Parts: sequence; C-alpha cells; structure tokens
Amino acid sequence: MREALERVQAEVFSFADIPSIVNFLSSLPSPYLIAEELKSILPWTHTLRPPALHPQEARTGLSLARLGVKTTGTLLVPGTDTASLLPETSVILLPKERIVDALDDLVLYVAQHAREHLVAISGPSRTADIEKTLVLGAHGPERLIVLLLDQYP
Amino acid sequence: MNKTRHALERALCDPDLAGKVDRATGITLRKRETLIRDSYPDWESLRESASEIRSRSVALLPDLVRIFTASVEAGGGNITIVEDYDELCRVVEEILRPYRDRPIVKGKSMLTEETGLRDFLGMRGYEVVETDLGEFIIQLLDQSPSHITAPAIHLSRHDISRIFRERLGGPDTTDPQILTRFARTVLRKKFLKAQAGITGANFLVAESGTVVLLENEANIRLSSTLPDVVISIAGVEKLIERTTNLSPLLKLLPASATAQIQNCYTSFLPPDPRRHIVLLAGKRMSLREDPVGSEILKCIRCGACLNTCPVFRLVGGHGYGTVYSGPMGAILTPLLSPEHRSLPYMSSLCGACTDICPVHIPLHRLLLELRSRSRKDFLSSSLFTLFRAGANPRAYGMGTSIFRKLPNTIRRRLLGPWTRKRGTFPVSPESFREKWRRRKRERNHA
Repeated sequence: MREALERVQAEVFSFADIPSIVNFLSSLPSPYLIAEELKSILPWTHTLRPPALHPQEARTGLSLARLGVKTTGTLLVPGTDTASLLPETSVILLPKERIVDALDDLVLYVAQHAREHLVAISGPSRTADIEKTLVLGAHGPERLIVLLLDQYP
Repeated sequence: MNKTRHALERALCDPDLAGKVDRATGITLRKRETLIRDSYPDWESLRESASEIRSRSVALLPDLVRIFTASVEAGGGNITIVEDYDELCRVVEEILRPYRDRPIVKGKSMLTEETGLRDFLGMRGYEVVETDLGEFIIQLLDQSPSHITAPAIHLSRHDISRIFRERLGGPDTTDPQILTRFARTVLRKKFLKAQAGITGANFLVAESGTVVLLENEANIRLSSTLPDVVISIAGVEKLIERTTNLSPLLKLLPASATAQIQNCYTSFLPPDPRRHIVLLAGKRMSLREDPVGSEILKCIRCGACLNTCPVFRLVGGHGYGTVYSGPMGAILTPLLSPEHRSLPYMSSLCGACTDICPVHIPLHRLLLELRSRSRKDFLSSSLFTLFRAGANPRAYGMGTSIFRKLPNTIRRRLLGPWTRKRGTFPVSPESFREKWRRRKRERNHA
C-alpha cells in the first residue's frame, strides 16, 4: 500500500490508533476541516483548534477512506467530502482492515453502493497542461497525507 | 474540405508547432510504454475485454438508453434526451436560466466544442468559465482545444505566461508551478461564486444511472459538488451496461490518455434531484447501422491515437480544422458531418493508431474504408473526367499543347492549390512527345 501511495506522490505515515495521530495532526496548518464521519471519533474539539468557520478557509482537511487499493494507491471517499477537496493539505485516514487488493474490488464496492456519490482519489491534484510539466496542486490539494491505522474503532 | 486545407496550411506555416506537439506527445507515449511494461502484464487481455464491453454497449445502445433513463428517474435525477446540437443547447440554457447572473463553472467536455454550447450560452449573456487549466488558457485565446486530452499542447510556457500577463495581469514568470498557482487563485473565486456547473462524462452506467468522470485537477469535483445545479452533457456512446464493466476501462483510460496507473480523481455521480443529464442521441444512434460508425462509437476518447499519429504530431489538432482530430477524429468527423470527407486522407495509414487503441478499434482500416467511399464520389467528379480524357493519347496531346500555350498565371490557377506552396515551374515550349517525333523525323532525313 505504502509504495503504491508514494508512487502517486502521497505521503504515508503509520499509526497504532486514533489518539496517537492527534499530535501529528496539530503540526499541520490550521484552520481544519473535518469530515462528518470523523467528528464523533476524533477528539478534535479539544486538540484540533481552530476549526474552519467556512470550508473554503480551511488549510488542512481530514477525511476517512472507505477503502484503499493496495496496487494503485487509490482511496475511496464520499463525493460530498469537501475536506479532501478544498484545503491545500488533505489528510486521509485509512484503517488497515479497509485495504483491498485491486481496483476491481473498488469497482465492486462502487457497484454495491450505487446510490452513493463516491470519489476515488489517487494522489494530490495535479496538472501537466503546461508543456507536460507535472505540477502538484491544481484545483484541489497540493499535499495528500495518508495515515495508515492499525486499529480503528 | 476548404476549412481543413486552410487549417493545415496555417499549421504547416507555424515554424514551432511541430516541435511543441511532437515533444509533448512523445513524453506521454514513452511514459505509457514504461507504465504498461511495469504494471500491466495483462494489458492485451484488458484490451480484449474492454473491446468486447464497448462493442456490446454499442450493439445494445437503444436498450441502454432506455435502461439508463429509467435508472436516472428512479433515483430522483433528471434526464433529457436530445436529437441534435441545437436542441441540446436550448435544453441546457433552459436549466441554467435561473443562474444567469453568476458564473457557470465548466469541466472539460469535447461535446461542448462539438455542439458550440459555450458560444451559444455566451451570446445569451452567460459567463461560462472553463476550469480545466488547459481549457482555461485556450478560452482566454478564444481558441479550440488542439488535443482531446491535452488542449493546450500547442502552446509553450512562454505563450501561456504572456497570455496570463496580457489578459489577467498575471505574474512575470514562465515557471509552470507559479502559473498554475495563479490560475488556481483566479478560478477558485469563480468556483465559490458559481451556482451552476457543467460537466461532460467519461462513462454512463445504464444499470445505476451513474455518471463517471475522470480527471486530475479536481476542477470537475469542484464543478460537480459545489454548485446548486449540475448539468452533465454526453453522447449516447458513453453508455455502458454495468458498473463492473468499468474494471478494465478505468485501467486502460488513464494509462492510454496520460500514462497514469490511475488519474487523481474518479467521480461516481449517482442520480440526484440537483443533477441533470442531457443525452445526445440523433445521428450517433444511426451511426450504429454503419460498419465504420459502429466501430468508432466504441472510442473512449483517450487520445492515444493522436499521440502516436505521425500526421497529428506534425500539424497538431488545429491542423485538422475540426473539433476531433487525429485518427479517431478523421473517422468520427466525416461520419457526423459529410462535408469533411477528405479528412481520412490526414493519415499515412501506417497503422500505429490501430496498434495503440485500448479498445481495439481498427482505426487505419476504417480510414481506408472511408477513403474508398470518398473515392466513389471522386469517380463521378469532373476532375476524374479530365483524368479519363488524359488516358486517350490524342486527347492528352491536344490538352497538353493547349496548356503549354496558356500564360503562366492561368496555368497556375488551373493547377490550383498544388502550385501555391511551390515556386513557378518553367514549361517547355515543346512536349516530350513532340520532341521525340521531331528527333525521329530529323534522323530519318539524315
């Protein structure tokens, strides 16, 4: 998983559980934008201050992956998740038990959740529209940080 | 025909163009080779299954339109099937009318170019902003894309820097990173202000009514999630039967288009009351009856055949003078609008396009077939009558002796475009056959 993620220019860190990542997160630029499904899990109100008043002001976004594809470094998140879209730094939590082998597994998951707006993410946003020179950070995040979690509640 | 000829002349007269296009397409081609070698030992079987999926989709198209419509409506989404460009533009405008006073953010869509939607809306007072970086740049220049997946391939960083400085007061730099950052800032404001978005579609899944969109910049994610209303426009050929059909397609498309194992973002948009789908049927539907048409409808618009085509690499997309260029464009365009029937001649028939096509479309054979069709038109043309007359020695002799006696200006006019880029050529006062006869006479006398 790590190699595949690094191949698409994501930064990867491993953590044992949720409490151990809070310190790491607070070293990233604030204000923060935290995905709905993480608000009940992360002790964010105490440690991750200040939260963004408006999503577009956030500098770091925090999201939770539905699954991660081992071979391609692709993460699946809800399509409405602006935390992985608006800020310049996107942090995505990937519990290890959600890692699948191949892209075909992701397609299968999408097929089974056909009513849901989903987005597959492979690396920080980029463009090569100027002379085919790769530039990270087009309209979306410039940095994608993936936190691999051994234990997820 | 003339449009292509003028476009081609302009392209050939640009001293830097071939270098820029050749360099950019070469980079993608080499990266693609490496990617396939390292990551896709099963590439050939992926192509095989993708080709089958696309053939089946084209064969089932009327059913898929019906199923897709039902799925979208069952999911609470909106769908309108339109028959031609004009109807498509009118339907889109009607949906957008309440949002007229705000910018409309738009993702990349070749169908928009084909239908002239942006101009249609522009003339009616809508501010439609292209948000893909390449499209944004060429919109500033009021140009059309020169490549289906790399629209600004014909511009250098110096060109782009100058455009940003002149049109938007951009920074005085040619650094792609700073130029990209500048465009991001300009466009982020538009995204936050917009109430309506327009996207194209890469695939439409019939069984679920899902619109699938692939991108790298996140402009499509922004265009499809932030606004209150989102319109996706697509041709019926984008339909596939099932979500699981996506498996080979989602591997082949980014590898072929941009040499990536995966593009950054793939959005799966299910039916939603905020979202509208405008589906173009019409002529595309009847192309199925044509053996060439049913093959080209399989195309997934990766642009690999453009990158590998020796003609495209020399003249770029603008050299074709049409929306779609390269081998796929030279096939699709004349089928959609017969006045472009000379387009299949923009090929060396080397077959590189057929070798690279991820869905196994026999592109160079189709080009040959279309040439033979346009040859049938040629057989009844006046030029051919002239050629046939030339096959008669007497008529030929008479014709050429008259031709030689004409003033040079009239001769040039008769030969038309053939002489335009060539210098004047002296015409001997005596033809070879006349000279031959004279020499023979002289020898007999001697």
